[in-house]
Amino acid sequence: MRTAIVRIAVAAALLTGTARADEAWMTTSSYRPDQTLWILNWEIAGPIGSFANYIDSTSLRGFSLEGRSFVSKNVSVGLSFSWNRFEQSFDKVSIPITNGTATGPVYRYSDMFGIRGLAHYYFSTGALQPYVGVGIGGAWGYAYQQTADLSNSQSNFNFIVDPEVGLLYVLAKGGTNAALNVAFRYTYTTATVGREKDASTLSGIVGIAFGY
Amino acid sequence: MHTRFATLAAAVLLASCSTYTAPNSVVYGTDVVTQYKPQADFATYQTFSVDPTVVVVDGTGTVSTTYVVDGTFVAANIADHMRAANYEELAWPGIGTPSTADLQIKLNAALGSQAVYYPGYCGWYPYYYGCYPSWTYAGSYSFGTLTITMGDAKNSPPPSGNANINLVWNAALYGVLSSYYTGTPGSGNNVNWGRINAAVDQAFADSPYITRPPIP
Repeated sequence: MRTAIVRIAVAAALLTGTARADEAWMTTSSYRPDQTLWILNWEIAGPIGSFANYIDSTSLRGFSLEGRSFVSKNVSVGLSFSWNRFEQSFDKVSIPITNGTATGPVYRYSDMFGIRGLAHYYFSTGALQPYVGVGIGGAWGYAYQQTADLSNSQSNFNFIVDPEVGLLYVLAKGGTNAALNVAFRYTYTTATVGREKDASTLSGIVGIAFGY
Repeated sequence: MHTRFATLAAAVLLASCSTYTAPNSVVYGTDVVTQYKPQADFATYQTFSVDPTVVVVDGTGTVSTTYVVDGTFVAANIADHMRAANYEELAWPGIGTPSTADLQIKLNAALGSQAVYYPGYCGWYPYYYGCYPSWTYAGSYSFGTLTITMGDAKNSPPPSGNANINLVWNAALYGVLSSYYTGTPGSGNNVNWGRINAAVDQAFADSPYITRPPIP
């Protein structure tokens, strides 16, 4: 009987402690900063510069996956992978060729796969966390163009750098935190698409972030 | 939570799967390619003539055949452009008689079909790993190309028998004879002459160097 009473007491104590701990997690004072952020983004990208001579329509088909790890209260480093598809058809395009001209309807698309190292600085640790960051790495670019049954393509691996400004809006806090990520990014690459070099884009980014 | 995030990421990846297929308006569209002989001086020629027949190499059947169809409508349009560029037209003399014109223009057509294999709707170039369900479109399309060749009879020996004549200009009008839109040449009124002549107009618009000073 004594043993049973002791067991009940110990269990009650443990349960009480657990309840207190859970309650504490619900309060702001016990909120612990994120150690790692995983972010999945939808990217809306528009070609600029010479890239716009190749395709000038805005791409709604793109995403990126980011992993950011905090090395201090306001600084994170990480990795990201991204994919963007640019695609457009033209009714009639005239292209100079050797000793002549080719004219016809043209279909073009380009895929950009980027993988980069990331560094971000956060100006706040509150519910709204504006940040600036930069990614540097490599991008594999593939470009394809077709007119009638004539086609050619280019593919190459290139340098990529993309500074960005953004904002994390914390939606929920707890053992796992969730936030809305909104960012604006300029991407420069040395990729060649068609006859255009140094493909660059401006992107609007919306994503969901999970912090652990 | 990791599972949910991975599921979300996988959903985005699947959503990104898409076709690489050019629209029909491009695949079956008209493509005009013109090329001139380097160093050719079109101002030195004065006369031209156009053979109003089209030599067709037809590969649409099980056995390739060659035949001749009437190309008067195309020849007339070409002649209009040449006259507008200040060249003097000489009538085509007919089979077996060499033309005496400086520039001799002939028409040829190639018909056939080409198999095409598009990558899977979910594949990554150049390795077409398919997402599930893996679909790969395979089919074929007909092609019909009209070529216009312009030979230089002024500076190269006049053709006799099977002798060649140097070309100074060539235009390839891809798709204008495609059965997808126009039917097959030689089969009556199925040929879209409007499409062909629009391509001829484009060929001369892309070749502004084909001109000479007005003949006094």
